[in-house]
Amino acid sequence: MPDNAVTETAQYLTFTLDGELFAMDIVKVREVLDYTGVTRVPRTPDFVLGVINLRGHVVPVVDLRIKFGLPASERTESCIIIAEVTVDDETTVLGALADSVQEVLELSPEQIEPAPRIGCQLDTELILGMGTMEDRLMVILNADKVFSSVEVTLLRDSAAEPALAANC
Amino acid sequence: MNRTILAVDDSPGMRTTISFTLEEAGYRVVEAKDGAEGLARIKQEQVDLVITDLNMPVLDGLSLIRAIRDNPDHRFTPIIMLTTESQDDRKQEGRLAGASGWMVKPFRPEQLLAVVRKVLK
Amino acid sequence: MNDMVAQVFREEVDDLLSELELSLLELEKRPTDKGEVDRTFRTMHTLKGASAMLGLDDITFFAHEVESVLDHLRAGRLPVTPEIIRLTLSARDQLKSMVQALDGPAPADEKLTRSLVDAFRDLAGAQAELLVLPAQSSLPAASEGEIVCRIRFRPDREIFKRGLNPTHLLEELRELGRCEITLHKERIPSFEEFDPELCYLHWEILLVTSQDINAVHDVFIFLGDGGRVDIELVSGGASDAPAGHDVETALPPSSTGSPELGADPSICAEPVVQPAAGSMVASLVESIVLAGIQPAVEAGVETGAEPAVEAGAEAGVEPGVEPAVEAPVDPRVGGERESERARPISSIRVASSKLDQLVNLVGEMVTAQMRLVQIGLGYDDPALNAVAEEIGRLTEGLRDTALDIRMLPIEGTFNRMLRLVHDLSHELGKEVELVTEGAETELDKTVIERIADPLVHLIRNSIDHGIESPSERVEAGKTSRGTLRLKAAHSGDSVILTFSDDGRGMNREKLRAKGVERGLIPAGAELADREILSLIFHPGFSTADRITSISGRGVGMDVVKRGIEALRGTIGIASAAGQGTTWTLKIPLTLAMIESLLVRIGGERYVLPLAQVVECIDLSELEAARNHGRRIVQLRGAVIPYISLRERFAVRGARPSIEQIVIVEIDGKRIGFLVDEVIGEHQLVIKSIGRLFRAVRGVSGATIMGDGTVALILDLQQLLDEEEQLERRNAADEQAALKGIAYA
Repeated sequence: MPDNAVTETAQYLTFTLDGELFAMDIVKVREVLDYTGVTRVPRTPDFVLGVINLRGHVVPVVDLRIKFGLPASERTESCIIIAEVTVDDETTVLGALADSVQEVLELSPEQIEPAPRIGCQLDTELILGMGTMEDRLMVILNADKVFSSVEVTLLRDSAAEPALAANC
Repeated sequence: MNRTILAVDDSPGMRTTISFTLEEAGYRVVEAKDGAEGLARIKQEQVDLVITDLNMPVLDGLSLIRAIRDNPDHRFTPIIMLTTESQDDRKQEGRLAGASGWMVKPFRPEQLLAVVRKVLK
Repeated sequence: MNDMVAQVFREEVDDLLSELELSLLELEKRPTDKGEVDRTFRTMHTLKGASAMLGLDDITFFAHEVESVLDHLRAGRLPVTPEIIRLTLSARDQLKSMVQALDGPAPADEKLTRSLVDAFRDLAGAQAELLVLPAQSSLPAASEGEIVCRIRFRPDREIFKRGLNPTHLLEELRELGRCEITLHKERIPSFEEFDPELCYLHWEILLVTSQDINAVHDVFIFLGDGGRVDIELVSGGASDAPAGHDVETALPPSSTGSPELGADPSICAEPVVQPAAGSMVASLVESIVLAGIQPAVEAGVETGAEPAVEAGAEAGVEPGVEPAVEAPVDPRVGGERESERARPISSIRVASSKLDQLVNLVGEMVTAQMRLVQIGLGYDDPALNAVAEEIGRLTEGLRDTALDIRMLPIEGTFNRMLRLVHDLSHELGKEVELVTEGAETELDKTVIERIADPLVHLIRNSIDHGIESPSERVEAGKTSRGTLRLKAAHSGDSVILTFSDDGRGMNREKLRAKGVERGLIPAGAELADREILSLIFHPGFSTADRITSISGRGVGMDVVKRGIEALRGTIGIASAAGQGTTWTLKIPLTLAMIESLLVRIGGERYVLPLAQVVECIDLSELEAARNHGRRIVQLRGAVIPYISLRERFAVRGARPSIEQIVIVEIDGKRIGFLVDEVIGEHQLVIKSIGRLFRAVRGVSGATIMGDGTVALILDLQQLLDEEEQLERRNAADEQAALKGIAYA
């Protein structure tokens, strides 16, 4: 997986989801917000929480717990990581719900292993690799891929005949 | 008192060039976008020099020059015509209509200023 | 040149290019209209002047070539032909590319420029050929027994390679009698392109001879296909020929005394008597050298103080110099001069990005002001509320003004369509005229920018499929020329664009058959006329029997519809067989703000465009039950269907006992949307909902409310289309079930 390979030492923001440790390249992170009310967008899957107002811009927020099949949580204590992602050469912004933000770590390429093909319940497509730091194991997310995977799901859903599946 | 120059040209760019150059040098410039407007302005304003294009809508430059000369107040007001064609017949026509001189477009702002200074000295 | 001045010139050039296009299209309609010819010439002339002032030599040079031909039109030396119009339109496009290329990385296509220049020189040359100069001719008149011939000799460029020397042929002609020979040098290319082994010259010879005309033909007998020779017997002599005055303007100014002028290769057609081989080469060399050095129009040759003053003296006019000697004015002395310069400016040009920024800021401010009001409500402080109210009033004024500044007349877009119709009708061999109305109608700049593409599609479709060929039209008892009408008019917060053709109209049977074939509708389904016509908006739906380059690839009307919907607009069709089709586009004036009706469904608030809302009514549980679950409501005798948004959006939770129906009108049809509660009317700032949700049906955008939360703007047309699709599918299911066939 050439475009997923990590070749340089970089800094990562770590956060937890259902007790598991995740990480995202700090270059992608624009800011971290406390959880605020999200406006739900109808006809979107459950892992799309909705949209928030980020200083006058409307930003989508996804719930990574649901996306990764982890049990849903109380949202009151959580935060939203605002990531700047690049899709089709276009820069756009995505919010990701996290239970809590931990710290910023520096990981060298040697500390990162490719995502295991099996034994991982997450979609390996969305993962840059598995990072290790002092016995702690963390899932390093590819923020761009998370966004495009959500986008693909939404496009596929709406391409289907007018969805009334919800009620008929 | 500043001398007032009437600049008549249907090209906004040309009018701006003239205004910009001459106002920088301390002249007062009144603009008109065609011959008819030029004629109206010359009646309202105390004009010391007229710079006019020849090819213009509504009233062309030659007609404007003739009309200005018909006005006794402006029998001796210098009129510089702007030509792009450096053809003699246009100049000759202009002279006959009453123009005092001509300038060939395009010109550099300094050239315009030199001509105006000379004429208004 | 000063940047500000240069900017004014650049904008002027853009304006002139648009004007030129328009006047050419007008000229095509009225080729004999002297006023229009003058206008066209003047525009090109001013264009040349402006580009010369900007120092754009290539553009000036090119413009000069075109202007020369337009000057011939103006002087009546050349007739206005469709060919000239077409060529000048191409030249105009090329000028535009050249201007645009100034800001871009790549220069405009130089080959194209060159070929256009050649074409214009041919035209100017053709004109020159019409006018040999008998009036000025020094030739003694033909006497008894003599004939006068005009010979145009245009050797092939490769003539030297064939071992032929054109001057020998000229010598032979001289031996036949008295000759006046005119050398044409127009085709000599610039230095870089010059090939010394080619012949770029041609000649025109007036010959008075006592010989037979066959003797003249014999001179060229060995030429073969080495060139073109036209020999014409001119009977009568000088008086038949065009007046000498006209000729003069086609000739170089010979008495200006400035050597550079004589070298301008573009306007030279100087008479050369007896071109001995040596002198020909000499003049050839001279031309080449000068052409190489100075390909552009002579610039500023005569500029300077001296000629002006001298000329004044020559004309016998006293320069109006007052006796009082004035001290030279110091340009740096401010005070008085400032006030002198403070004259009223009626309009200014502003970079559009600044306007966009202004509108964005005003949008933010409207949102902030809403929050202020919200906060004020919680304090019950009269002073605070008074300020909030004042700020509200000011914000509203600011908002309206800011939006108004960004309004532009739709004229520019209409003009583009005139050109499109011109080009397409030629391409497809149809006679089509576009009549526009309401070009002064103003819309937000951003809307105008995005309305062009859908309009282009509609026009292409009409010319390709709607308008019949001239013969078909005549057969159907119509005029051979088809008419398209494009009209704009304001209607409240929207603009209504009506586009109609007087073509063959839509074939409903064909539409229906195609719809069945594509599985969009069940065979034999009962459809309202509107529904049949709307089939054309279905993606991939095209009834074109043949595929042309213009349309008919199945990309078409669905693209138009999507384009209009992206503008929060609607599109409707009406069509009468044999009489034509009318498209009605309703588009909001601006994409920045929306007059909206705020509603609540479950825990979320949604925004409906107020422009589409007719009224709101209550719906009690009792009433809902009375119609046995069918979603219809009676309103003053009319039965109106409604859509439950709660169901559509799969909103969980209990329904309130009294709900509300918002009745809207879309494309002439009334339909209700059932919501939990109508909150009220607001003017809201439209925000993009971002690329992630672009595919979500029924939602077109978002807005930020006073409390900082986001509310979604609904796309009612999409929701309605969806409902109709569902109804059709249900009907098909029922039918299939009735026939006992499983419907896949």
